Amino acid sequence: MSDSSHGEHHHHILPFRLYMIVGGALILLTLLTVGIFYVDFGPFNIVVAMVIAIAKASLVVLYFMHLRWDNKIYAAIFILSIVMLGAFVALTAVDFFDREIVTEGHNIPITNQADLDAIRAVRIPDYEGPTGYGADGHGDDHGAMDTAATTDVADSLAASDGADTDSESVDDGH
Amino acid sequence: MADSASHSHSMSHVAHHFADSEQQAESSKMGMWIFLLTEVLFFGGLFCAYVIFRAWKPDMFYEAHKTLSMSMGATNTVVLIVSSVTMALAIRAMQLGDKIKTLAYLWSTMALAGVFLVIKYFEYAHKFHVGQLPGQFYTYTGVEGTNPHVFFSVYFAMTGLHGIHVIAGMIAIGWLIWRTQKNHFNANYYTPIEMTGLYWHLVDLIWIFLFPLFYLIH
Repeated sequence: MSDSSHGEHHHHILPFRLYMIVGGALILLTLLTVGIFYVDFGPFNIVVAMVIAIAKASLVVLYFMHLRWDNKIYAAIFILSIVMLGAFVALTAVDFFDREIVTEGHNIPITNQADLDAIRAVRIPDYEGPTGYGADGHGDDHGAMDTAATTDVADSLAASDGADTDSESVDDGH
Repeated sequence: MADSASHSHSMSHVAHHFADSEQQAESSKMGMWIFLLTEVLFFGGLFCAYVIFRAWKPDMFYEAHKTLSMSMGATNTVVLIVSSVTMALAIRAMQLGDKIKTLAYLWSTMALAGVFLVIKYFEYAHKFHVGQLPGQFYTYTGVEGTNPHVFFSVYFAMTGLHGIHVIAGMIAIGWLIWRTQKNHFNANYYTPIEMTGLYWHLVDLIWIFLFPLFYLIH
Protein backbone atom coordinates (compact mmCIF):
# COMPACT_ATOMS: atom_id res chain seq x y z
CA MET A 1 0.00 0.00 0.00
CA SER A 2 3.03 2.25 0.41
CA ASP A 3 3.16 2.71 -3.33
CA SER A 4 -0.47 3.82 -3.67
CA SER A 5 0.50 7.38 -4.50
CA HIS A 6 -1.62 6.94 -7.61
CA GLY A 7 -4.70 9.02 -6.97
CA GLU A 8 -6.69 8.20 -10.08
CA HIS A 9 -8.88 5.11 -10.10
CA HIS A 10 -9.92 4.52 -13.65
CA HIS A 11 -6.72 5.42 -15.41
CA HIS A 12 -4.37 3.44 -13.23
CA ILE A 13 -2.00 1.69 -15.62
CA LEU A 14 0.11 -1.11 -14.21
CA PRO A 15 3.52 -1.90 -15.69
CA PHE A 16 3.69 -4.70 -18.30
CA ARG A 17 6.38 -6.40 -16.20
CA LEU A 18 3.97 -6.79 -13.26
CA TYR A 19 1.51 -8.83 -15.36
CA MET A 20 4.37 -11.06 -16.53
CA ILE A 21 5.59 -11.59 -12.96
CA VAL A 22 2.11 -12.41 -11.63
CA GLY A 23 1.41 -14.72 -14.60
CA GLY A 24 4.75 -16.46 -14.05
CA ALA A 25 4.03 -16.85 -10.33
CA LEU A 26 0.63 -18.39 -11.13
CA ILE A 27 2.21 -20.93 -13.48
CA LEU A 28 4.92 -21.77 -10.91
CA LEU A 29 2.25 -22.28 -8.24
CA THR A 30 0.38 -24.59 -10.65
CA LEU A 31 3.54 -26.65 -11.12
CA LEU A 32 4.04 -26.62 -7.34
CA THR A 33 0.55 -27.92 -6.64
CA VAL A 34 1.08 -30.72 -9.18
CA GLY A 35 4.46 -31.54 -7.58
CA ILE A 36 2.96 -31.54 -4.08
CA PHE A 37 0.41 -34.10 -5.30
CA TYR A 38 3.18 -36.71 -5.44
CA VAL A 39 4.27 -36.03 -1.85
CA ASP A 40 2.27 -37.75 0.87
CA PHE A 41 1.14 -35.37 3.59
CA GLY A 42 -1.61 -37.74 4.69
CA PRO A 43 -4.80 -35.80 5.38
CA PHE A 44 -2.97 -32.50 4.80
CA ASN A 45 -2.61 -32.88 1.01
CA ILE A 46 -6.02 -31.27 0.51
CA VAL A 47 -5.03 -28.48 2.93
CA VAL A 48 -1.78 -27.77 1.05
CA ALA A 49 -3.61 -27.89 -2.30
CA MET A 50 -6.24 -25.42 -1.05
CA VAL A 51 -3.62 -23.07 0.44
CA ILE A 52 -1.87 -22.95 -2.96
CA ALA A 53 -5.22 -22.43 -4.73
CA ILE A 54 -6.08 -19.57 -2.34
CA ALA A 55 -2.65 -18.02 -2.95
CA LYS A 56 -3.25 -18.21 -6.71
CA ALA A 57 -6.76 -16.80 -6.34
CA SER A 58 -5.37 -13.93 -4.25
CA LEU A 59 -2.85 -13.06 -6.97
CA VAL A 60 -5.60 -13.05 -9.61
CA VAL A 61 -7.93 -10.93 -7.51
CA LEU A 62 -5.31 -8.46 -6.25
CA TYR A 63 -3.40 -7.87 -9.50
CA PHE A 64 -5.46 -8.98 -12.51
CA MET A 65 -8.73 -7.76 -10.98
CA HIS A 66 -6.97 -4.70 -9.52
CA LEU A 67 -8.45 -5.03 -6.02
CA ARG A 68 -5.13 -3.96 -4.55
CA TRP A 69 -5.54 -0.49 -6.05
CA ASP A 70 -9.29 -0.12 -6.56
CA ASN A 71 -11.88 1.34 -4.23
CA LYS A 72 -12.13 -0.97 -1.20
CA ILE A 73 -15.88 -1.31 -1.66
CA TYR A 74 -15.21 -3.88 -4.43
CA ALA A 75 -12.93 -5.88 -2.15
CA ALA A 76 -15.67 -5.76 0.50
CA ILE A 77 -18.23 -7.15 -1.98
CA PHE A 78 -15.86 -9.94 -2.99
CA ILE A 79 -15.05 -10.86 0.62
CA LEU A 80 -18.77 -10.83 1.37
CA SER A 81 -19.30 -13.42 -1.37
CA ILE A 82 -16.71 -15.70 0.27
CA VAL A 83 -18.29 -15.25 3.72
CA MET A 84 -21.74 -16.07 2.31
CA LEU A 85 -20.33 -19.12 0.52
CA GLY A 86 -18.66 -20.27 3.75
CA ALA A 87 -21.89 -19.95 5.73
CA PHE A 88 -23.81 -21.75 2.97
CA VAL A 89 -21.40 -24.72 2.84
CA ALA A 90 -20.84 -24.98 6.60
CA LEU A 91 -24.50 -24.90 7.57
CA THR A 92 -25.49 -27.35 4.83
CA ALA A 93 -22.69 -29.76 5.78
CA VAL A 94 -23.57 -29.66 9.48
CA ASP A 95 -27.20 -30.35 8.67
CA PHE A 96 -26.48 -33.11 6.15
CA PHE A 97 -24.18 -35.19 8.31
CA ASP A 98 -26.58 -34.82 11.21
CA ARG A 99 -29.20 -36.77 9.25
CA GLU A 100 -28.24 -40.45 9.07
CA ILE A 101 -31.43 -41.13 7.16
CA VAL A 102 -29.88 -39.41 4.13
CA THR A 103 -26.65 -41.38 4.10
CA GLU A 104 -27.65 -44.84 5.33
CA GLY A 105 -28.41 -47.60 2.84
CA HIS A 106 -27.00 -45.66 -0.12
CA ASN A 107 -23.67 -47.41 -0.49
CA ILE A 108 -23.77 -49.05 -3.88
CA PRO A 109 -20.65 -50.45 -5.53
CA ILE A 110 -20.65 -50.44 -9.34
CA THR A 111 -17.71 -52.66 -10.25
CA ASN A 112 -19.31 -55.17 -12.61
CA GLN A 113 -22.20 -55.54 -15.06
CA ALA A 114 -24.53 -57.11 -12.45
CA ASP A 115 -24.02 -54.14 -10.07
CA LEU A 116 -24.72 -51.80 -12.94
CA ASP A 117 -27.90 -53.58 -14.04
CA ALA A 118 -29.14 -53.70 -10.47
CA ILE A 119 -28.64 -50.01 -9.76
CA ARG A 120 -30.14 -49.08 -13.12
CA ALA A 121 -33.13 -51.34 -12.54
CA VAL A 122 -33.78 -49.73 -9.18
CA ARG A 123 -33.11 -46.11 -10.12
CA ILE A 124 -34.39 -45.80 -13.70
CA PRO A 125 -38.16 -45.95 -14.20
CA ASP A 126 -39.23 -48.49 -16.86
CA TYR A 127 -35.72 -49.92 -17.07
CA GLU A 128 -35.67 -52.62 -19.72
CA GLY A 129 -32.31 -54.25 -19.30
CA PRO A 130 -28.82 -53.15 -20.23
CA THR A 131 -28.70 -50.53 -22.98
CA GLY A 132 -26.38 -47.79 -24.08
CA TYR A 133 -22.63 -47.69 -23.60
CA GLY A 134 -20.99 -50.78 -22.19
CA ALA A 135 -23.93 -52.96 -23.19
CA ASP A 136 -22.75 -53.55 -26.76
CA GLY A 137 -22.62 -57.16 -27.84
CA HIS A 138 -25.21 -58.40 -25.40
CA GLY A 139 -27.38 -59.55 -28.26
CA ASP A 140 -31.15 -59.56 -28.52
CA ASP A 141 -31.91 -62.51 -26.27
CA HIS A 142 -31.91 -60.76 -22.95
CA GLY A 143 -35.61 -60.99 -22.21
CA ALA A 144 -36.35 -63.48 -19.47
CA MET A 145 -32.72 -64.05 -18.47
CA ASP A 146 -32.21 -60.38 -17.75
CA THR A 147 -35.31 -60.04 -15.70
CA ALA A 148 -34.12 -62.95 -13.61
CA ALA A 149 -30.63 -61.52 -13.19
CA THR A 150 -31.98 -58.06 -12.38
CA THR A 151 -34.33 -59.45 -9.76
CA ASP A 152 -31.44 -61.39 -8.31
CA VAL A 153 -29.20 -58.38 -7.86
CA ALA A 154 -32.09 -56.21 -6.71
CA ASP A 155 -32.64 -58.81 -4.00
CA SER A 156 -29.00 -58.69 -3.01
CA LEU A 157 -29.19 -54.89 -2.97
CA ALA A 158 -32.17 -55.10 -0.66
CA ALA A 159 -30.28 -57.71 1.37
CA SER A 160 -27.27 -55.42 1.78
CA ASP A 161 -29.58 -52.61 2.87
CA GLY A 162 -31.14 -55.10 5.24
CA ALA A 163 -27.70 -56.05 6.54
CA ASP A 164 -27.10 -52.41 7.46
CA THR A 165 -30.36 -52.34 9.34
CA ASP A 166 -29.52 -55.63 11.05
CA SER A 167 -26.20 -54.39 12.36
CA GLU A 168 -27.99 -51.36 13.73
CA SER A 169 -30.60 -53.49 15.46
CA VAL A 170 -27.76 -55.51 17.00
CA ASP A 171 -26.43 -52.25 18.38
CA ASP A 172 -29.86 -51.51 19.75
CA GLY A 173 -29.86 -54.88 21.49
CA HIS A 174 -26.87 -53.98 23.67
CA MET B 1 -29.12 12.89 -23.81
CA ALA B 2 -28.40 15.22 -26.67
CA ASP B 3 -27.15 17.86 -24.21
CA SER B 4 -24.66 15.63 -22.45
CA ALA B 5 -23.51 14.15 -25.74
CA SER B 6 -22.81 17.59 -27.12
CA HIS B 7 -20.54 18.62 -24.21
CA SER B 8 -17.51 17.19 -25.90
CA HIS B 9 -16.71 14.31 -28.17
CA SER B 10 -14.54 12.45 -25.65
CA MET B 11 -17.37 12.45 -23.08
CA SER B 12 -20.00 11.06 -25.45
CA HIS B 13 -20.00 7.72 -23.63
CA VAL B 14 -21.28 9.31 -20.38
CA ALA B 15 -24.99 8.72 -19.83
CA HIS B 16 -27.02 11.72 -18.66
CA HIS B 17 -27.60 10.39 -15.13
CA PHE B 18 -23.89 10.31 -14.29
CA ALA B 19 -21.90 13.34 -13.18
CA ASP B 20 -18.81 12.32 -15.13
CA SER B 21 -16.93 9.48 -16.78
CA GLU B 22 -15.25 8.51 -13.51
CA GLN B 23 -18.53 8.08 -11.64
CA GLN B 24 -20.02 6.10 -14.50
CA ALA B 25 -17.04 3.72 -14.61
CA GLU B 26 -17.09 3.23 -10.84
CA SER B 27 -20.83 2.46 -10.95
CA SER B 28 -20.31 -0.12 -13.69
CA LYS B 29 -17.58 -1.73 -11.67
CA MET B 30 -19.75 -1.87 -8.55
CA GLY B 31 -22.50 -3.56 -10.54
CA MET B 32 -20.00 -6.00 -12.00
CA TRP B 33 -18.64 -6.98 -8.59
CA ILE B 34 -22.16 -7.58 -7.30
CA PHE B 35 -22.75 -9.79 -10.35
CA LEU B 36 -19.50 -11.64 -9.56
CA LEU B 37 -20.81 -12.16 -5.99
CA THR B 38 -23.87 -13.89 -7.44
CA GLU B 39 -21.55 -15.95 -9.67
CA VAL B 40 -19.54 -17.09 -6.63
CA LEU B 41 -22.79 -18.20 -4.98
CA PHE B 42 -24.03 -19.79 -8.24
CA PHE B 43 -20.94 -22.00 -8.32
CA GLY B 44 -21.14 -22.13 -4.51
CA GLY B 45 -24.12 -24.48 -4.63
CA LEU B 46 -22.03 -26.95 -6.62
CA PHE B 47 -18.96 -26.45 -4.40
CA CYS B 48 -21.27 -27.24 -1.50
CA ALA B 49 -22.40 -30.45 -3.22
CA TYR B 50 -18.75 -31.31 -3.83
CA VAL B 51 -17.81 -30.81 -0.17
CA ILE B 52 -20.69 -32.97 1.04
CA PHE B 53 -20.23 -35.82 -1.41
CA ARG B 54 -16.47 -35.90 -0.97
CA ALA B 55 -16.74 -35.84 2.83
CA TRP B 56 -19.28 -38.65 2.59
CA LYS B 57 -17.30 -40.82 0.12
CA PRO B 58 -13.63 -39.80 0.35
CA ASP B 59 -12.31 -43.18 -0.84
CA MET B 60 -14.60 -43.33 -3.86
CA PHE B 61 -13.59 -39.76 -4.82
CA TYR B 62 -9.96 -40.82 -4.66
CA GLU B 63 -10.58 -43.88 -6.83
CA ALA B 64 -12.80 -42.01 -9.32
CA HIS B 65 -10.37 -39.11 -9.77
CA LYS B 66 -7.85 -41.56 -11.25
CA THR B 67 -10.04 -41.67 -14.37
CA LEU B 68 -9.23 -37.99 -15.03
CA SER B 69 -6.15 -36.96 -17.00
CA MET B 70 -4.01 -34.80 -14.74
CA SER B 71 -1.84 -33.62 -17.64
CA MET B 72 -4.92 -32.37 -19.49
CA GLY B 73 -6.20 -30.62 -16.36
CA ALA B 74 -2.81 -29.04 -15.63
CA THR B 75 -2.45 -27.92 -19.27
CA ASN B 76 -5.87 -26.31 -19.13
CA THR B 77 -4.94 -24.54 -15.88
CA VAL B 78 -1.89 -23.00 -17.57
CA VAL B 79 -3.95 -22.14 -20.69
CA LEU B 80 -6.49 -20.24 -18.58
CA ILE B 81 -3.77 -18.44 -16.59
CA VAL B 82 -2.10 -17.27 -19.80
CA SER B 83 -5.51 -16.18 -21.13
CA SER B 84 -6.00 -14.15 -17.94
CA VAL B 85 -2.66 -12.44 -18.59
CA THR B 86 -3.61 -11.62 -22.20
CA MET B 87 -7.02 -10.33 -21.04
CA ALA B 88 -5.36 -8.04 -18.47
CA LEU B 89 -2.92 -6.87 -21.15
CA ALA B 90 -5.83 -6.11 -23.53
CA ILE B 91 -7.21 -3.70 -20.92
CA ARG B 92 -3.75 -2.19 -20.42
CA ALA B 93 -3.30 -1.73 -24.17
CA MET B 94 -6.59 0.20 -24.42
CA GLN B 95 -5.64 2.26 -21.36
CA LEU B 96 -2.68 3.31 -23.49
CA GLY B 97 -4.99 3.86 -26.48
CA ASP B 98 -3.35 1.15 -28.58
CA LYS B 99 -6.12 -0.39 -30.69
CA ILE B 100 -3.89 -2.83 -32.59
CA LYS B 101 -2.41 -4.34 -29.42
CA THR B 102 -5.83 -4.46 -27.78
CA LEU B 103 -7.15 -6.47 -30.71
CA ALA B 104 -4.10 -8.76 -30.66
CA TYR B 105 -4.53 -9.49 -26.94
CA LEU B 106 -8.29 -10.00 -27.27
CA TRP B 107 -7.78 -12.45 -30.15
CA SER B 108 -5.11 -14.25 -28.08
CA THR B 109 -7.53 -14.57 -25.17
CA MET B 110 -10.20 -15.88 -27.53
CA ALA B 111 -7.78 -18.42 -29.02
CA LEU B 112 -6.66 -19.65 -25.58
CA ALA B 113 -10.30 -20.03 -24.51
CA GLY B 114 -10.75 -22.14 -27.66
CA VAL B 115 -7.75 -24.30 -26.73
CA PHE B 116 -9.27 -24.81 -23.27
CA LEU B 117 -12.55 -25.99 -24.79
CA VAL B 118 -10.83 -28.29 -27.29
CA ILE B 119 -8.92 -30.01 -24.46
CA LYS B 120 -12.14 -30.20 -22.46
CA TYR B 121 -13.86 -31.72 -25.49
CA PHE B 122 -11.31 -34.53 -25.66
CA GLU B 123 -11.76 -35.20 -21.93
CA TYR B 124 -15.56 -35.25 -22.22
CA ALA B 125 -15.53 -37.35 -25.42
CA HIS B 126 -13.49 -40.05 -23.70
CA LYS B 127 -15.85 -40.07 -20.70
CA PHE B 128 -18.90 -40.32 -22.93
CA HIS B 129 -17.27 -43.19 -24.80
CA VAL B 130 -16.53 -45.30 -21.72
CA GLY B 131 -19.73 -44.38 -19.86
CA GLN B 132 -18.19 -42.32 -17.04
CA LEU B 133 -21.33 -40.23 -16.95
CA PRO B 134 -23.56 -38.65 -14.30
CA GLY B 135 -26.18 -40.51 -12.29
CA GLN B 136 -28.31 -42.97 -14.23
CA PHE B 137 -26.20 -42.57 -17.37
CA TYR B 138 -23.20 -44.10 -15.61
CA THR B 139 -22.29 -47.37 -17.32
CA TYR B 140 -18.63 -47.69 -16.36
CA THR B 141 -17.63 -50.46 -13.95
CA GLY B 142 -13.97 -49.73 -13.25
CA VAL B 143 -14.14 -47.49 -10.19
CA GLU B 144 -13.78 -49.06 -6.74
CA GLY B 145 -15.82 -47.81 -3.81
CA THR B 146 -19.51 -47.03 -3.60
CA ASN B 147 -21.63 -44.60 -5.62
CA PRO B 148 -18.98 -43.72 -8.25
CA HIS B 149 -21.69 -42.23 -10.49
CA VAL B 150 -22.01 -39.40 -7.95
CA PHE B 151 -18.42 -38.30 -8.60
CA PHE B 152 -19.21 -37.90 -12.29
CA SER B 153 -22.46 -36.07 -11.54
CA VAL B 154 -20.49 -33.50 -9.57
CA TYR B 155 -17.64 -33.47 -12.10
CA PHE B 156 -19.89 -32.81 -15.09
CA ALA B 157 -22.06 -30.29 -13.24
CA MET B 158 -19.08 -28.21 -12.11
CA THR B 159 -16.84 -28.43 -15.18
CA GLY B 160 -19.94 -28.13 -17.40
CA LEU B 161 -21.12 -24.93 -15.74
CA HIS B 162 -17.55 -23.65 -15.93
CA GLY B 163 -17.40 -24.58 -19.63
CA ILE B 164 -20.63 -22.67 -20.27
CA HIS B 165 -18.97 -19.67 -18.61
CA VAL B 166 -15.96 -20.05 -20.91
CA ILE B 167 -18.29 -20.05 -23.93
CA ALA B 168 -20.11 -16.97 -22.59
CA GLY B 169 -16.71 -15.31 -22.09
CA MET B 170 -15.76 -16.05 -25.70
CA ILE B 171 -19.01 -14.44 -26.88
CA ALA B 172 -18.26 -11.37 -24.73
CA ILE B 173 -14.69 -11.20 -26.03
CA GLY B 174 -15.98 -11.50 -29.60
CA TRP B 175 -18.29 -8.57 -28.90
CA LEU B 176 -15.31 -6.59 -27.54
CA ILE B 177 -13.27 -7.36 -30.66
CA TRP B 178 -16.12 -6.08 -32.82
CA ARG B 179 -16.51 -2.89 -30.76
CA THR B 180 -12.75 -2.28 -30.63
CA GLN B 181 -12.64 -2.70 -34.40
CA LYS B 182 -15.44 -0.12 -34.64
CA ASN B 183 -13.39 2.38 -32.58
CA HIS B 184 -15.91 2.38 -29.72
CA PHE B 185 -13.13 2.47 -27.13
CA ASN B 186 -10.29 4.82 -26.34
CA ALA B 187 -7.90 5.58 -23.48
CA ASN B 188 -10.71 7.40 -21.63
CA TYR B 189 -13.43 4.83 -22.20
CA TYR B 190 -12.83 1.09 -22.07
CA THR B 191 -15.30 0.00 -19.35
CA PRO B 192 -16.75 -2.97 -21.31
CA ILE B 193 -13.23 -4.40 -21.77
CA GLU B 194 -12.51 -3.91 -18.08
CA MET B 195 -15.81 -5.54 -17.00
CA THR B 196 -15.37 -8.50 -19.35
CA GLY B 197 -11.86 -8.79 -17.91
CA LEU B 198 -13.26 -9.06 -14.38
CA TYR B 199 -15.65 -11.77 -15.55
CA TRP B 200 -12.90 -13.64 -17.38
CA HIS B 201 -10.61 -13.55 -14.34
CA LEU B 202 -13.42 -15.00 -12.20
CA VAL B 203 -13.78 -17.87 -14.70
CA ASP B 204 -10.02 -18.45 -14.30
CA LEU B 205 -10.38 -18.19 -10.51
CA ILE B 206 -13.04 -20.92 -10.41
CA TRP B 207 -10.90 -23.23 -12.52
CA ILE B 208 -7.98 -22.62 -10.12
CA PHE B 209 -10.12 -24.37 -7.49
CA LEU B 210 -11.69 -26.99 -9.78
CA PHE B 211 -8.28 -28.27 -10.90
CA PRO B 212 -6.94 -29.44 -7.49
CA LEU B 213 -10.43 -30.49 -6.29
CA PHE B 214 -10.97 -32.92 -9.18
CA TYR B 215 -7.58 -33.78 -10.68
CA LEU B 216 -5.35 -33.78 -7.59
CA ILE B 217 -7.23 -35.86 -5.03
CA HIS B 218 -4.66 -37.55 -2.82
